[in-house]
Amino acid sequence: MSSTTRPPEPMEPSAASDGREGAEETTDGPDGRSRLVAALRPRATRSQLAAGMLCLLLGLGLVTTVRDQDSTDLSTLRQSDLITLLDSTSTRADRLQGEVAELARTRQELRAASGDSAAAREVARERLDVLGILAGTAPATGPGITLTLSGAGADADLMLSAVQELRDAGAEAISLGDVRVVASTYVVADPADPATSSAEPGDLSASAGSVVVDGAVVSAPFVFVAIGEPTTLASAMSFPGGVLATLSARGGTGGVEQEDAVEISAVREAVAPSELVPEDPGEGGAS
Amino acid sequence: MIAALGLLLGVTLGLVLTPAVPAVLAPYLPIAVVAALDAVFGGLRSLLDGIFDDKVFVVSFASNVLVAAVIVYLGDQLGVGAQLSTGVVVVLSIRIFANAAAIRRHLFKA
Repeated sequence: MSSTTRPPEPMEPSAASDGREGAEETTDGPDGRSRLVAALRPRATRSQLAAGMLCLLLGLGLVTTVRDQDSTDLSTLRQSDLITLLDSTSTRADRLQGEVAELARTRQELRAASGDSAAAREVARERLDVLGILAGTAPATGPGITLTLSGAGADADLMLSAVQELRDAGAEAISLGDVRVVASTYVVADPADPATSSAEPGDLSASAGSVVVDGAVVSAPFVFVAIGEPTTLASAMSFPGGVLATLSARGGTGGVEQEDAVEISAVREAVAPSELVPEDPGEGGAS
Repeated sequence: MIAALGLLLGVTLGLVLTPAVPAVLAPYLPIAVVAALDAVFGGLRSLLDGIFDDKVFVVSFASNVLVAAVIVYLGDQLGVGAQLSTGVVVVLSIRIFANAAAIRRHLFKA
């Protein structure tokens, strides 16, 4: 190591001189700056070219990487990332599958419910028909009986008993004479009938020539037509202590005929309620 | 100066050409870039220290990039790729910070 030749055989002049200075003064600001300024001067030296080439590579890689990150592509992910992604995706798929099942179940329920409501509508329609017959607003035909009452003891009381028995026996429609018997039907003795007006009250053997049914005069013989199960209706009339037995005990005559088809053509107009307000939850209130 | 020009040229080239990264190399490119950044900062520091050597710079640049890529590749093969690449990035970041601190001391004496 000779003291005269301070530059130790430099491979490249500038780098060697820099190295020498750096070796002498390690941390010197002005020197560092001057070295930077010196390095900034463009010289086609080997070190400058090498640094330039590598920095070019760095810039290229930097930009490419940034671009690559922008366009997220599955092919650039590594295995563990892919597994994580797959995991989360399958978890999400599971959750969505469960949601699908739940929604399908809800749909099934709603569909069944709408089917139920259709069935309920059907039932309501049938009820309307039945109630129409029961309320007497519709003519009715069907199997039933014809009950004929006449003679002594065939009074309004007996008529009411007969109606009651017929209802108990399941009669779906009843007419007395030309009058349809409904829930509000009343039967009273005809005040114009000489037989009843002359008879003592409580005289069971008194024979009624006519009664008033719902304001209409019905004359003897009193003919009931009832639609229902014929056998049941007939036996309800003829059981011991029943209508026919009572009538025959009082001295009157009566008979019941079972028929496959009887017709009740007498109808009653449906009376619109004047006081009551039907409760309809669907329409708030009646106007 | 030429280095700065090269960096600029590289950025421009990347923006203009938009080179496609081969799928095999794609996971290693980010790490390689960070390693190259470390090498460049180290080179700048050595320049300011006055001990810059182009051969050392080229070799350190290449070896940094290669070693970083190999470590990540090894990590991928071992199933700890994510953790190892995080570790490599941490180490390189520390080095970059240290180099940046040295450069700062040179330029601003603070």
